[in-house]
Amino acid sequence: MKIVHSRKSRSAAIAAATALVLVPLAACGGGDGSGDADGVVEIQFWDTQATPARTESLNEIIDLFEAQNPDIRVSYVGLPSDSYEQKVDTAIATGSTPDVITASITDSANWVAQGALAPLDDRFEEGGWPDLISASMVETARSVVPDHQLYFAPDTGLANTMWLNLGILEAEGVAVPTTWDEFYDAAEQLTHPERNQFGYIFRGGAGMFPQVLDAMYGQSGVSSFFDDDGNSTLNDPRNVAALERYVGLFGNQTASADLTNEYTNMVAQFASGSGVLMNHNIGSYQDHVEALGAENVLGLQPFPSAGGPVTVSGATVLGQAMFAESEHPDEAWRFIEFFLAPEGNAIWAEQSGKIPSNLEVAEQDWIVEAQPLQAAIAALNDPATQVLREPFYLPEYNAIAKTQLEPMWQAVLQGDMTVQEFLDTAAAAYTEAEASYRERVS
Amino acid sequence: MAMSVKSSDPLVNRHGLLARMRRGSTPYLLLAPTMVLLLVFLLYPLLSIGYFSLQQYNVSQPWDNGFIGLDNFRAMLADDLFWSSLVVTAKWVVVQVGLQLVFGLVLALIVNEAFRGRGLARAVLFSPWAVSGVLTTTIWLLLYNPAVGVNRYLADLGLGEYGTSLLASGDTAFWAAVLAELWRGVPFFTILILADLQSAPGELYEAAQVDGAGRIRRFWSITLPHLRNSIILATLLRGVWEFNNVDLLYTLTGGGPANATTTLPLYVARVAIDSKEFGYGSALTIAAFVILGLVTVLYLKLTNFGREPNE
Repeated sequence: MKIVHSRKSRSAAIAAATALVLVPLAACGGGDGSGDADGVVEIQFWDTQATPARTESLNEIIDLFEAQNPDIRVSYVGLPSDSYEQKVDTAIATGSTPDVITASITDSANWVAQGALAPLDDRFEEGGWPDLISASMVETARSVVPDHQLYFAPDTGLANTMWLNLGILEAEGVAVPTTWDEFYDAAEQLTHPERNQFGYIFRGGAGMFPQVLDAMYGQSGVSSFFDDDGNSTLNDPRNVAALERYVGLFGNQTASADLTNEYTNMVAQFASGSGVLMNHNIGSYQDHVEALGAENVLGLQPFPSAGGPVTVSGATVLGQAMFAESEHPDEAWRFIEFFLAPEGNAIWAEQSGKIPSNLEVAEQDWIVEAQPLQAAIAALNDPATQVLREPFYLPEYNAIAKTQLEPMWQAVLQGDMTVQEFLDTAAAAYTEAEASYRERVS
Repeated sequence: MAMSVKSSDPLVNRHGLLARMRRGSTPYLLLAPTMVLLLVFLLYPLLSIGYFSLQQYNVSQPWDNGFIGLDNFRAMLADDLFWSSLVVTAKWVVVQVGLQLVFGLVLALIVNEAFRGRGLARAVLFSPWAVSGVLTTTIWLLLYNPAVGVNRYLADLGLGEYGTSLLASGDTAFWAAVLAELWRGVPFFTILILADLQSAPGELYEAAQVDGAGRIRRFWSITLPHLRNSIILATLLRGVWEFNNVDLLYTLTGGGPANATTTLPLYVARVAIDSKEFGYGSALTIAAFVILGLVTVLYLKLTNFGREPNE
């Protein structure tokens, strides 16, 4: 074989090499999700809490939507719950946001602060949704942003719930607790470390703050996160006393490994029976039913505080938001509306174990028969119930809980920090955040 | 002697000039893609980090963003977590590199000997190096899991208690992470040292044996001096990698419990990802860059890398 070396071939080789390097760079740019030749518009949809079960549910909803809207194709991207914020923030910074994203009151303040979301008020009104969707959920969605506009269409709600493995309680002859004292007694009676059974499952790791608030405000009866002067009530003496009692469970009625516990481990412990009582939001209902059977799962709302009222926290609203940069806002809104309409709302709420926002769906048989959902709805609808509104409108709300409080909480559980020190630090951080928020909006 | 003859034809002269230019530009054209990539992926991020380190930049609080001079660096000096993460980082690097070197050296010496099944032993020893960081974490998370891990089975045997995990205690989490990283890191040293052992001069060993030198004497006087440069290079590379280790620690412990395993790069990741404080995160990155650079230069200086011991 004769090899010919020429300047031409050398130049061509250099050009080819350069092209080979540059082509992948260009390819990294990705598509814009726009319409294609057959007139079908493709919209990008990101799920921020992707799990296999959620992905399956959402794909079912997408299939139904596409069948009814043949001019729209939905491209689904599932993001893990522990890293979606980073990906979304990067997408906002680089202008590569999708059309629609699953959102909640914990996210929207951050994304609105970056000017990333499109207000949906006009579309919501024009679609006639105010009469069909829970007004309290809509109000909650509006309450977490400074301009009180609607940046995501609420399709479901969550409430914190105390989960009980009823089968174990019955087997051990322990009565279902109805007061905080009975709860502590039950946790003690159900603890048998020698056979790997602990009365309560603690959340010491990621996402610990809702469990702390639930136990603390539920017991103390303190009704608001801030007092009238904008000082956080976290270190109110009643809260300190309540949390000290709650921390006493750790290592005694819980596994010591709960120090770093997060959602996945907690649900696994509950499913295996190594933990009997647990606080987690109502979204894990289907996981518990699958593991234990509906007959063995009971979901309770907080017991009345010593002062009388029931105080619930963690009343979260979730839905679908549209990015301001969406190139297909009309199509994106049609997809969002599908989550509000009875068919899509029922599938989504039932399969994800959440409270539906659609008033018609909320009266369907499946939800009437779901005891934990009914308990949550009853507690939230009871005028005597105090609902602790967490200040999700503070852009630093989640960051303080995650970066400051989570490590300190583990220090408290290990005995390296007192509950008072922990709550003083937490209260100071949130009071400062609230002060700068008030100054900004005033 | 070669002579060049200059043509009087201007066309020929022009072609000659073009040819020389083409020849002269070829190396630059060949280097261009690499230079472009270096500029895009190395220089730009470095300059960008430098720029942001002088800014208050938080994507969720854009109203406060702006130039703040050296405030981020001043805040860093008063940040307890910065200093504690620096201590954890130093401890992590020294322990990891030290233990990986010792175990890697011992294993390399063993598999350098001739014995039956040596090929299989080498394959088994090297295999953890082929496992990705996230997969390594998953394996060790399962091993440390209180429900399905080693502690659970020890408790079944009556050794220890149920519901415990090495990762769930400030006293043991660091060493549990060390063990997981050792599993992955030792093969690196074994491979490098074994490769260098292959080129050890056999005649020196024979001469030493004739002179009555025992195994230990031969190791100290021949093997170790021969491996000197490999060891310096391997410890330096591994030291830099361990300093920057984020994947295993982030996924295995998340820096916890109570910051017991929060190294400086992990702290940077948390500041940037969780707090969205990109300005402060950039300042921390600059600090890490400077510290790593100084330590590297000092290490190379102290070890006289590339020179013979008596040079």
